[in-house]
Amino acid sequence: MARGYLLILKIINLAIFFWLFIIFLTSIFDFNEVVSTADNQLVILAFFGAIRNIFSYIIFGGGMIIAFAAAILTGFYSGYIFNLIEVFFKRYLISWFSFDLEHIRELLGNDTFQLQDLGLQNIPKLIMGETSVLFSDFYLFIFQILFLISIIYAIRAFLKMDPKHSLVAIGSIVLMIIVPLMVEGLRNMLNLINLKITYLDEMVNPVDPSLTQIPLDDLFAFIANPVISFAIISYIYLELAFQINYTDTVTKPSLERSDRLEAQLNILSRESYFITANIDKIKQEAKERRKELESEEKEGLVIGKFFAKTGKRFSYIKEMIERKKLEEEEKKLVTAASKTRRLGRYIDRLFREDSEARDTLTARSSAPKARNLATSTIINFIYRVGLLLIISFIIIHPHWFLKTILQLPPAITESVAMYSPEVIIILLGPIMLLFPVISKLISFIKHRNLIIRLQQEGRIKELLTSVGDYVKKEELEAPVEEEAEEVATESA
Amino acid sequence: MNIEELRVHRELEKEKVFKDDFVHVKVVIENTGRNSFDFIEIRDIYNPQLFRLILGENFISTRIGPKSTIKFSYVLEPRVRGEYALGPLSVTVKDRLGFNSVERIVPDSVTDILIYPPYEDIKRIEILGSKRSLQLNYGVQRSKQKGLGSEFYGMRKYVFGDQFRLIDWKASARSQTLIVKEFETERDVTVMILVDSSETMAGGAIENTKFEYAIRACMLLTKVALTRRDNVGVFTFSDKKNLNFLKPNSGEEHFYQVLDFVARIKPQGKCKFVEAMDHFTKRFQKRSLVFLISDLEANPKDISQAIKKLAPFNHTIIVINPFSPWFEIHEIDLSSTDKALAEAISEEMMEHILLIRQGLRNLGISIITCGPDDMMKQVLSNYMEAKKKGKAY
Repeated sequence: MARGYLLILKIINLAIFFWLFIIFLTSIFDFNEVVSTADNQLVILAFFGAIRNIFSYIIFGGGMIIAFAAAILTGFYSGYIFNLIEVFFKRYLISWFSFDLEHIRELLGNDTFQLQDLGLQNIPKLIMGETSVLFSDFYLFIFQILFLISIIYAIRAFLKMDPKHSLVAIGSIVLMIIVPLMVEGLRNMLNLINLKITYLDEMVNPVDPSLTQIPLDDLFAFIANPVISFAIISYIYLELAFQINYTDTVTKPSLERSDRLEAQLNILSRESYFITANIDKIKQEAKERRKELESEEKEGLVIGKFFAKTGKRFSYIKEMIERKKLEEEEKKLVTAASKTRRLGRYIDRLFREDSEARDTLTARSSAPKARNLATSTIINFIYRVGLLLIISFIIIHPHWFLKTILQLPPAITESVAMYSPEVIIILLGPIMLLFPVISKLISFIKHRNLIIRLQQEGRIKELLTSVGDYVKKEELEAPVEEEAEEVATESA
Repeated sequence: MNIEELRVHRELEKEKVFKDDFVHVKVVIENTGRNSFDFIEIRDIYNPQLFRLILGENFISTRIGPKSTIKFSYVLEPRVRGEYALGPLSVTVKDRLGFNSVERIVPDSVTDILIYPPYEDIKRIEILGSKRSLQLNYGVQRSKQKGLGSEFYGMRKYVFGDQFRLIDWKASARSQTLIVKEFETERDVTVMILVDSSETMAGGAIENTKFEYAIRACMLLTKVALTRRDNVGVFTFSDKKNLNFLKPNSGEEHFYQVLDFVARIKPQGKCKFVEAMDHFTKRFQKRSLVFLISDLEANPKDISQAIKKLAPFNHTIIVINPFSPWFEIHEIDLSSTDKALAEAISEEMMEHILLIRQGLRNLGISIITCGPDDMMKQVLSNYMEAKKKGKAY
């Protein structure tokens, strides 16, 4: 039942993630902007093409340098050898590389450039140009990576219960919004000091410009806004992920324990019947084996002979160990068989005498019920989402809150500062700190109360003793004579 | 999340258990409050050196609703004889997201459990007893003495001084000579089992020490002797602080008193033979069949002197000596150096025992040296032999 409930929760959460993704792609983020480069080439292909080109240039240039260096070092530094190397590289080896002539011409700014002209002098310029292309592609490539991470982790979150996966999935989507906003912010900041970086200017902004236009006056319009919807749905997704994790943490041990114990009990019952049926055979085999061993070792192993025959003393331990070795396996078998049978009988009797023993052993009765879990999850969910909405609304409307709830004088509420965006911090800071502070306070008060109560009861010493040492020291130190007297009196 | 609202306690199926038996431990958790606990973890702590978890688990992680109770249980197998503590119970309460947690040890959650020596030897005797008559099994016994009594013993010719009331007139008429009837009185034998409880007896693997074997032998002897209506007493000794005496008594109930008595003894302290025997002779003087079970790892002179102290009381003394190397070499894969060492130790120990043997020869006391395989057999056969010969009446 609990497993079914968990699966339903996971399916709901996956559906929420798709909903979130749809809002993100339709209303917040223009993915087309980051799919292809300015040359209408797919970003992924352009990115890996640039990496391939850089390595090709390095290998080609590096090869030429090595060949020239080898010629110089070996003394063949005549013009003829140099020409030979150049011809070899430019005519033959170049055909091994798939250089894009148009792209090279573009990077070098020379429309008449031919591949046969590619020499060592061109390599640094080509690498620099390709690196620049790589960096501009890398910005777009980040979005593709984040997109993939988000999808992969959403799938992992569905398959596993760890909320960490859900956090990564949401975090990746949020990063896809934050990265262009940061670039935009940096660009604006540099514009203030009249500084222009071409590279920054060329970076596209895939985030919808309406992102900053949040309706603040109407609660419903506020909630219906794509950005706010996105934030709320993200929260709901994470909240559900934590609820799933909680449900799993609470139910899994009980369910696993129940399964494990049931399996153990079944095996025990089966083995117990088998051993009961075959115990005589096992014992007979063990007895025969023992007889054989005894007859084999008779001479060396009689303890009396150890004392009598001085000549045989030294071999006794060796022989005894050898015999123990032989006996060990059969002894184990007989002991295991006997123990299994005894345990089987014991469990049968226990289940007969104690009607709830089976349930307590498998802890079936202690597993939380799906209905209770569902009720608790729904109540907690509504409570938290509601609280989140109210707190978000209050934080975004500090003016309304300070004027209506706290009833501050107009000199404050109507001041210019109240209409600046930074005023949000006045409420954001305290509200964010409110929960950890309350939690710490409760923890501190509880701890103090416990210490006071234990001191009153004089139990601290007792608890420390019970945790640290199982042996009752008082008993060891008690005068034994008195104890002996007591025993004697009792027995009398 | 008020942890005080949780009531946790342990229920033991039995507080006294044999070593090779099982014990079912149940833990009950009750939430007396009106709020549920989203995440609780209860752990019942036990010492794995003393107990083996056989079935179930000693902890649980779950959720508990308001005003509700949950239970879990597990089965333990005691590993070592003695009196040990089970517990305490530890409770951990966490919030739903695991940000906040409180852990507490439940007060008064330590339960003492008394573990008797293994019952397997007794069981074997019981099975044998049920299969055939114990008397036949154990041989002829002469625990009865001819003389005054109620049980008919036999007839013989009249001799001067016999009481007239004992003359069987019918038989006399038949045989034409005076015949008297003889009756016998039943006489109890008192068996005193003296067990060395010094620390040297604890050598070897924890479950199979000389002391554990000595206790098993003591239990077996008690059972057999009580079945044959003898009185059995136990005295365990090491140093001055560890002298425990259980008065001899008979009857089925006394067996459980012996069990309780030996279950609580721990091997500790140095063996002070002379002091121990002084104490014993002060407490008990009646002529009896004394079984002294000791590894005799003390000064040979002291041992001889101590045993001589028992001589004036006309005890029949049988010394059972568990030979230390036989008990302590339990590792199968010994290196050749270890083997050589073991052999050297065995030889030294043997010389030591021979020395004590020589000292006691004059007193007519023999030392029966035995290993783990034949210890029970030796104890039982020596008891039977003593009974057969009518010793210590």
